[in-house]
Amino acid sequence: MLDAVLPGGGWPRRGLVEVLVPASGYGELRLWAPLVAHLSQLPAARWCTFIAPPFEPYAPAWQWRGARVDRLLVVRTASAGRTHDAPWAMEQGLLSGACALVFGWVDHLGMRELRRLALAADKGAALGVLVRSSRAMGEHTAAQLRLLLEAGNGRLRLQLLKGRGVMPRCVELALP
Amino acid sequence: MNIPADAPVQEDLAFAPPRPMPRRVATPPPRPRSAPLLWLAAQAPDPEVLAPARQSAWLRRATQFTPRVCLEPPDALLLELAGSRRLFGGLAPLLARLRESFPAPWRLAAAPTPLAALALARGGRSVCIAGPARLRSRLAPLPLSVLRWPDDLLERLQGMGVGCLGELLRLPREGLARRIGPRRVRELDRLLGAAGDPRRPQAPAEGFAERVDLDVETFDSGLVLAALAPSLARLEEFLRARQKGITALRVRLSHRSGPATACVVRCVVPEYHAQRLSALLAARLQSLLLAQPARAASVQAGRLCGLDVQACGLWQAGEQGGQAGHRAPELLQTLHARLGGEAVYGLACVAGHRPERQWRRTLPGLAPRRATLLAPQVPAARPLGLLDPPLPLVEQRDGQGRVRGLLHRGARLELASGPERIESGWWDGAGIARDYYVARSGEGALLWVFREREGARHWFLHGYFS
Repeated sequence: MLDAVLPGGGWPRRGLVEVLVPASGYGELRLWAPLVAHLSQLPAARWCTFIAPPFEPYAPAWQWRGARVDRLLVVRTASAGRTHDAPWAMEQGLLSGACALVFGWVDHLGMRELRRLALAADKGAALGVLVRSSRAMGEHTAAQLRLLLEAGNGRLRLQLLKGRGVMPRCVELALP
Repeated sequence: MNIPADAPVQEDLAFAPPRPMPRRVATPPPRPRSAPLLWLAAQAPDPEVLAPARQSAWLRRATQFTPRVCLEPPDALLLELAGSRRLFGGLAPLLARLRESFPAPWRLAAAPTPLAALALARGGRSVCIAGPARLRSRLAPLPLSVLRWPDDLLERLQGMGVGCLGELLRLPREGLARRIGPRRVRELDRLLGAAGDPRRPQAPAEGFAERVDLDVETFDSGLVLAALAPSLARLEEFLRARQKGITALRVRLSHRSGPATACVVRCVVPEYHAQRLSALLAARLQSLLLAQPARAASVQAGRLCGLDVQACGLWQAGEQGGQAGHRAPELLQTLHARLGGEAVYGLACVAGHRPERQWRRTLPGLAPRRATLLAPQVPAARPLGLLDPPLPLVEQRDGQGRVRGLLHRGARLELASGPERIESGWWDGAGIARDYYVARSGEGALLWVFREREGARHWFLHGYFS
């Protein structure tokens, strides 16, 4: 159902996607779990990388959802005062060509950093997923797709704020 | 022929007269048994220059002219040049190039025997004596001190009225052997080429260390990196020539006072590429906090490892089945270098019942063991993100102290399903006894929460289903 509204009929395979969430735990990962499972099961699977997640990716749950956990990579950045490490690590991951998918929990990004990340994703043939606070909704973005997740009444509401060739619209998904 | 300090040498040796064209095919002249040798002694201005820590750079510099380089402690190098004359287009260009590599305070002298070359260099004569004919006459005026014999022996000779080498060489051999010992006489034979003086060429120590003084004292890692760039390029040359790579590069930044700041760039796979090493070093230097500005930097290569030479794929990673394989270590190296080894890890499942012990951190990219591949022992109700350690929830209690509600980020939680009782690990002191629930916050987030079944029976948030 989500595929039907996404430009190109599914998640893109390269580029930068922004997911805005009010806080952690709103389904931002569950949306991507099928893609992670698919990408990590490919014969020459590249890494799916988590940059500075606000939790530990829980290996048994990922495995249960069909992902190969040895293709998952976690990168921690020291939080104290070094805010540039996370965008830097994300750019390196995207650029390297060694990652198929890079999740980054990075706030405080300027347009310049966003452009760099989008370029890096394009160059490294990787998909970057930026999980940001929904406070960033008003800011401009260089991402090719911007989603806003909200939950309410047992349903996940997903707003397509920006995308190539789509009108802004809203989709409701059932929570399991 | 003199070797001037700066200008290229002019060969003033007599040119061989042009050979007359043979009328008929003549039998070739008999070849000499071995080509005459030409030894060049390079005497350092200061013995410190050839101290063990610093000699390898000079040895390397010398080996670009000839593989037959010997170290003559404490202050000189010996280079055998006969084999290299043709390669460098004659003796004069070769000597000029040598003079460029060993500039002015170095004393250079060449002679057919190593000891003669050393004596000439130590006597301050920058000359090249190509043949044995004039050797004796050129050595004659040198003082005896150039022989580096013990002081008491030299004093004894002085007492005998011998003031220079010429006078020593004029003395009858038998009597001299009685007075100064046969060993010294044999040394004089070697000096004049009457006896052979075989030398074992010295292989430069397999290691790379260089030191660069910075133009200005600086905190700027970019400047340090730029100053180190030539050293890294030489390091690449050094490694390429040996088909080796390094897994550790030690960099020390010295300051005006206080101890030097050291950092180590570690590579996951042996690396030789200057550009990649420089990128790793850049990342490492950026994360280095300097208390004082750096005034000098030194690099030292770690142990040399064999290179795992791989063919490169035609496709870029991600294209047309291009693999991540050989690009992946580079990413790890880059991340390691800046963030440290602990910051990058892979995941693995572990058999067990305690949620926090059903996974562990591993080295990235390790293939899992079969057992863990086969058996996903966990039911569906596990969150994709786990909090480690669990986060205490805010409990709302009623008058009797019973928990009436739970708050997370200010929103009320409703328990959606559960409980699932997990009780395990009593045998190793880290046992748990918990009731797990899936909770839904007022905002709609799905959370994994538990309540302790023992002790204070507090509530905790353990994961996001997100």
